[in-house]
Amino acid sequence: MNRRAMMRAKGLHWFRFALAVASVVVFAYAVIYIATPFSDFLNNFLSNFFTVFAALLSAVAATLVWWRYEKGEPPRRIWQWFMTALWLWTIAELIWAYQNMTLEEVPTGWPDVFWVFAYILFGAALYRQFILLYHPDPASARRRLFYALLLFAAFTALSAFFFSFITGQPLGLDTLVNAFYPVGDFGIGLAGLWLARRFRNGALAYAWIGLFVFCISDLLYTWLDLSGAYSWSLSHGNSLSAIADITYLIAYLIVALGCFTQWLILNYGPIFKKEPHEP
Amino acid sequence: MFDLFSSLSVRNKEVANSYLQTLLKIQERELFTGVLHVQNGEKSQAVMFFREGVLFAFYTLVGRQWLSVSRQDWNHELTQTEGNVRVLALPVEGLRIFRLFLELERNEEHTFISINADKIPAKIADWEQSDSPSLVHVRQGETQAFFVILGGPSLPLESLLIGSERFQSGSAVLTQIKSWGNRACYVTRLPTNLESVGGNEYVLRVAFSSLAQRTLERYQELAGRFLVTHLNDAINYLNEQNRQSMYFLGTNVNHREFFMDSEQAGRVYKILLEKMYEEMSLVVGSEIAGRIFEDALASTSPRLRRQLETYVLAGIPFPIKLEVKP
Repeated sequence: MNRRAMMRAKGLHWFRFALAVASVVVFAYAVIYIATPFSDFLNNFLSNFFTVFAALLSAVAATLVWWRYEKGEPPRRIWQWFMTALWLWTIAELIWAYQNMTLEEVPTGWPDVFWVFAYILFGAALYRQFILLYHPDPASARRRLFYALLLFAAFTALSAFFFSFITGQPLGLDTLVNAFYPVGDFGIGLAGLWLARRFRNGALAYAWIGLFVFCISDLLYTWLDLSGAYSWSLSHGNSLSAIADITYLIAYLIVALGCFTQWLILNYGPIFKKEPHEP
Repeated sequence: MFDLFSSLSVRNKEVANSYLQTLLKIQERELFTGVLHVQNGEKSQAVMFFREGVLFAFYTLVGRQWLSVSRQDWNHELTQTEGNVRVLALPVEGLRIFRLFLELERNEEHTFISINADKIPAKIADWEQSDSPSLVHVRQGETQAFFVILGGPSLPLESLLIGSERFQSGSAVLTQIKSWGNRACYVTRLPTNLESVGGNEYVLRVAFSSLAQRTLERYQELAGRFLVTHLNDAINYLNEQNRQSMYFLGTNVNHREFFMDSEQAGRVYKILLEKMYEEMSLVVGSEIAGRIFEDALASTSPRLRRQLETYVLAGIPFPIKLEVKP
């Protein structure tokens, strides 16, 4: 076996290990969520723990990629934003988990500050990737960014009015934050999908695919939450909330796997490819 | 008339054919790289090119022109060759430059001037700005320098300096010449269209190196240095397997291979570009890998692009838009 084949085998080994860890986490989470084998407190603690753990894995994996790029390399700037956004989500998940354990209902507050700010950083990462790919002239890039932000603000405002109208709640910070999430998921998810398609079949698509999957899962969660279906499902032991929560955890793990695979490729080269003479 | 070999100050030895055969064996044993020139008075002249002891090119002077002898006729030619032998060790880069000088028709127009050494870099820069390619030979005492000027902005200048005991190549040659100060030098400029077999191959090599370098630079910008190193490893491994003396390091191409003609070179370059595309596709996807090549090709000078389109890119199995179809 030549050196390249050995490197690839090592990379594949680590990928399989990561896949096994992710599968164990999903399985354990699903068992705890559906079968509730322990006391209420322990079940709640463990399900919160696994969500925070999955978010932490994604942030650590993104940090590894950022670390692997040298100072001054253009992809490092993309990963700087991507990594910071994932750390903010991890902090948000941690605060939310704590509040979920100690309060009866988690109000709009600190976790949302981190979640919302993370969307802005994901936007920055997407923007940097776009600039790096297409090298548009700066004026045109700024114009596009301005229109995208304008569109984003308009859709958020429209959604806020819509939610306020259908739920009968007054138009306040709460509604605005709740309206922001689906628009953010939709915008970031679409941009991630667009980038993943540009990089199709390429390793650089993995992280963007992860982000897209996460946004879709979050969109599902937000829709269930806002429509009241989530709390109804929880109180009636319906599987809808389980699907939403397990998908949410899986989405974090997909982001983590996407980032970790990119790190493996940076270390061991393209790991999913065989040399012509390899068995 | 410019005569390359009469100006060379290398050791001479009158040999009979039987000794020539022994001499060839010695070169083989000593892994000699360079040229062996045999002159039988005014009757005949022959030049043999060696790389690591292997004879790989044979030229004879027919009339006023050096012609390549086909491989199947080498044995016959070797039994006929005898005379005054000059042996000149050269690096591969030197062999390539030497072949260009050799293939020039000896009755072509040329400019001969005598100027101070420190004025030569400016003179060369002037000639680089003109659109017509040329070969330049500089002589100062026992030392000689050779330059290949492709003509046109941002095209590389290749140079070789042969001193009494050492060679130099690259930008160090002009620096060395400048350091001679106001010593008088004889400078011969030989205009050429570089359309000989060697000339064509030379332009193709420059074109390939330029395309590969631009491609690697853009790939590095998108994917980072580590993945460029992985691509280099893949290419270097392939070259090693195919016994090609080419080495990719970062975004640079160290090309030490000597190809007999553009067709042979084109086949090798095509394989390398396909491999680069395959490796890049695994990282940035096939669409962007194709675009990287297209952008690199678009930023290559039209002359080099035509050469690539004729010998390398036609029929390449990945999407790349061509301007000129052969």
